This record gives sequence, structure tokens and C-alpha cells, in this order.
Amino acid sequence: MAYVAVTGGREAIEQSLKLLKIFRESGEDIAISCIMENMGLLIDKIMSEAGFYSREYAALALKQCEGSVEEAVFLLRAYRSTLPRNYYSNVVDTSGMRLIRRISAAFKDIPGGQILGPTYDYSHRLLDFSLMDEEKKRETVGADAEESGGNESGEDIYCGRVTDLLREEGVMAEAEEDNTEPFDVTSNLLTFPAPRSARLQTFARSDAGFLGGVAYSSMRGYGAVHPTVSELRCGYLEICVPYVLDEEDEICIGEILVTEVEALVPSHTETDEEFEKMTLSGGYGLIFGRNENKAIAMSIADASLETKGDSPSQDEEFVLTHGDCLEMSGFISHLKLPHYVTFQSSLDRVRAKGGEE
Amino acid sequence: MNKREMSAILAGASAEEVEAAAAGIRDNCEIEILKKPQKTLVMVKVRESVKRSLFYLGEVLATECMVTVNGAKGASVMAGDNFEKCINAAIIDGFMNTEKMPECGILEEKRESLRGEIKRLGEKQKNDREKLNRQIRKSQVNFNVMGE
Repeated sequence: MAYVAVTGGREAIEQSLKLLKIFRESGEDIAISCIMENMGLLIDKIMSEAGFYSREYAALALKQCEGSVEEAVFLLRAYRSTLPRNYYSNVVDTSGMRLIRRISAAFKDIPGGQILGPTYDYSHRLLDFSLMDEEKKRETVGADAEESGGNESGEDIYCGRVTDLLREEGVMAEAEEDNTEPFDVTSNLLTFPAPRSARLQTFARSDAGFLGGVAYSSMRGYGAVHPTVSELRCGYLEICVPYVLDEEDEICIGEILVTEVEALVPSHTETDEEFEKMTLSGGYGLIFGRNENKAIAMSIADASLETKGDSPSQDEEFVLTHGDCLEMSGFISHLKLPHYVTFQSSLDRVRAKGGEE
Repeated sequence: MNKREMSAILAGASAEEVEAAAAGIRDNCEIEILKKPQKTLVMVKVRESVKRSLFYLGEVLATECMVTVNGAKGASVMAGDNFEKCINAAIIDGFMNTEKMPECGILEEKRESLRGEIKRLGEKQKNDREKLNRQIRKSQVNFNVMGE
């Protein structure tokens, strides 16, 4: 069915846009730096779903759209499309991550130790009314920081991977380095079956809620993956690009904060012979910023697509084409726009059918 | 100190610190801007650790520019959108590149002095991280399995 355009409403639309500004106005303006410092996890979510790393611009987008995640993602994606992409980074090896957090649910003792870092996992979910008085809270946190001298080393924290140990032991499938150039879902139309690179890039940009739902469904039985988190790490990665005056050399453009997850599942076996050769395989998650549930969900979704079955989480086309925040909200949102002609057509058919009866 | 190390320190420094490091060059050398600072995207290519394949994680906002310092080219690409910081980093790069161009008339001791200044910036960044690193290490945990 074709769409038919509508005209008119210019003054009303202009007034509507003016009203947006009126509704956004407040007696106490919030600075971009304030949003960046106080809403770090929200900034991370927006950067991840936009596929665009800029804390400052994510904060600006949030300010502009009253804190709406999907509008902020829309703004960043739109802006990003106006910029040239003059560089591709050199391959980033995440084992070089400067860590702020690193845990394993598979082993209690891992080389380098488990470091809880900043996490809400063990916090009491009780409203902290002392935050109402922000100045007082700041003083308290500052004092705690001063007390932190101790004997701990202040060196940057780097650790080897848990899965490297499992590979050495032979219980995890060995993987050859695959240097196939990645598929880019931002420049090419996705076709199925999709290459692994397209799958991972799509997941990294996916709506966190959608990806969480896919992973949750798989764990609850609509699928076959209930993995063990071999390692979850959060930290900073240096991004390097070829030096434009000497391609043999490289320069560092700065660091980005990421969360990475490796999840383990036993390989699928059907026969006794396969059972004898059973090893661990894994799912992989890596996203911009700190969002652990999304990274874990990504690893489950990745592992789930390696299994066969009729569940939604095992359907590649379903999972890869319904999780993009912008496409999802755009398609749902379009239902608010005038559909007078298409609806009139439906109405006519219903009325005609009623008349026949 | 190689290009990577130097650019990492400059990227981690404040715009004011990079400006201060480039101030002497600006005062004493002839600087020409070959490519004005402009925003660009840098697509991040990652090797995932499960199947060891490559994929694109996403794009980082960055600024790029190119200058000459007494005829020697210098370039910079830096995360973020600070044009002045990017120009100053390119000026520092161009100054260092005079090493291979004696005709530029820059003495090695001047470059060595700037290297020292940037190294000090790197040490300051390391010291700034130490306090937080100690706090993070304090959260190292030893879980015990009950009954063992």
C-alpha cells in the first residue's frame, strides 16, 4: 500500500517545536560537564547504542532532548552521518586493557586476582537521602579518598585472560587468528547469513533492553544458552591509527572506556564420540562504556546464534534486524503520524464487508 | 619516546598543558597550517578474543590537522573536538620531525628539552592515576567456597 503525503499544519508544528523548548526550560540550567560527570552510565548507554564515542556530545544530546535515550541516539547518529570517516584504527587487542574492574564467575582464583572495582552488585538498593545534600556528600567521598593510602600498588592494572589458561589446558577450543576484513553494517546492507563481524557490530550498537530480552529468553528456555561468565572486564583501551606521514608508524588518539565479556558454554554433543571430545566454546561481548548487563547479553546472544533451534534467540535475522534503537523507535514512532488515507482504505473495506453481510 | 608514546601522553593531557608545551615552538619557529583542524570519525577495529576474528566496535569522534614547523611536516589526530589542542599537538610533532631535516635549523638539545617536558607530563598523568589505582586494588576480592 502506497503512502499519501499530507500538507498543512505549519504554524501548529512551529508552535509545537516552541513548546518543546518551553518544556525543556528549567529554573536551574544543567551544564554539559555536570551531565557528563553525574550521568556516566547513561552517557555510556547512549554512546553504545549510537555507535559513536563522544562523552561530550552524548551529554549535549541528552540535554537537548530532556533525557530521552532514543532521541539522543537519533541526534548522535544524525550528527555522525555528517562527518567524514578518514581513519580506521589499527587492530585493538583488548588484552591490553587498563583495568578498573575484572571478575570471573567461573573461577574464584584467577591469575592477577578478581577486582570488584566500581559495581552496584553488592549495594543495598535503598534510596540514599543524604544525596539530597550534595555538598556534604562530596566532602565525605573526598575524605575517604585521602584515607586510601595503604600498601597497594598504584601501578596501572593489566591482566592476562582466563580463556588463555583454558586454551593452554586444552579444554577450550583453539581458534586460529582470522584476519578477514570486517563487514561494516553502517555502510552495507546486511544480508543473511551474516558474517560474524556484522553480528558483533550489530550487537554492540543494539538497544540494551532488546539484547537483554533476547539473552533472558535464551537462558529461560527459549534457546539453549545459559553460560558461565569466564571473565568480565571493564577498563580503558588505547586507540591508535596509522601515522599519516609514515604508514609504518602509529599514533595514539586517546583512550576509550569499554566493557568486555567472555562467556563459556560446553560445546554441543549428540554422539558418545562427540561427548568424548567435548570442549568449551564461548560467546563474546564488547561495548562502549560501562554497561555490564549489555555486554553479558551480547555474549549470550552471540553464543545463542551458534546453536540450532526454533527459538527467537537462535534466529539470526530476527535478532539482528529488531534490536537497533533508532530503527526500532523510528518505526514505532511513525505510527503517530497521519495515516488518514491508509486507514480510510481499511475502514472502507470493513464497511463494505459489513454491508455485504 | 616513540610517536605512539608521545601522542598518547599529549592525548591524555589537558589543552592548556599541550598549549604550554607548544608555546616555545610557536614563538620561535615558522608555522604554517597545511590542513586546518577538522572533525573526523575513527572507526575502531577490534580483535575479539573468542574466535579471534575482527569486527568494528563503533566510531570515535576525533580531530585531525597538519602543519609545517620550519618546513618539517607535523600531523595530529586526537579524540574529541578540541581544535587548538590538535594544532598544538601537530606543531609538537612537526618540531620533532625536524630531527630528520637539519636544514630546518633546530638543535637536538631543543628537541630533547621538549621530550623531557612531555615525559614529565606523562609522569604527572601516571601519578594522577596512582591514587585511583590504589583504591581499585583495594577492591580485590578473595571469595571462599563454604565447606571447603
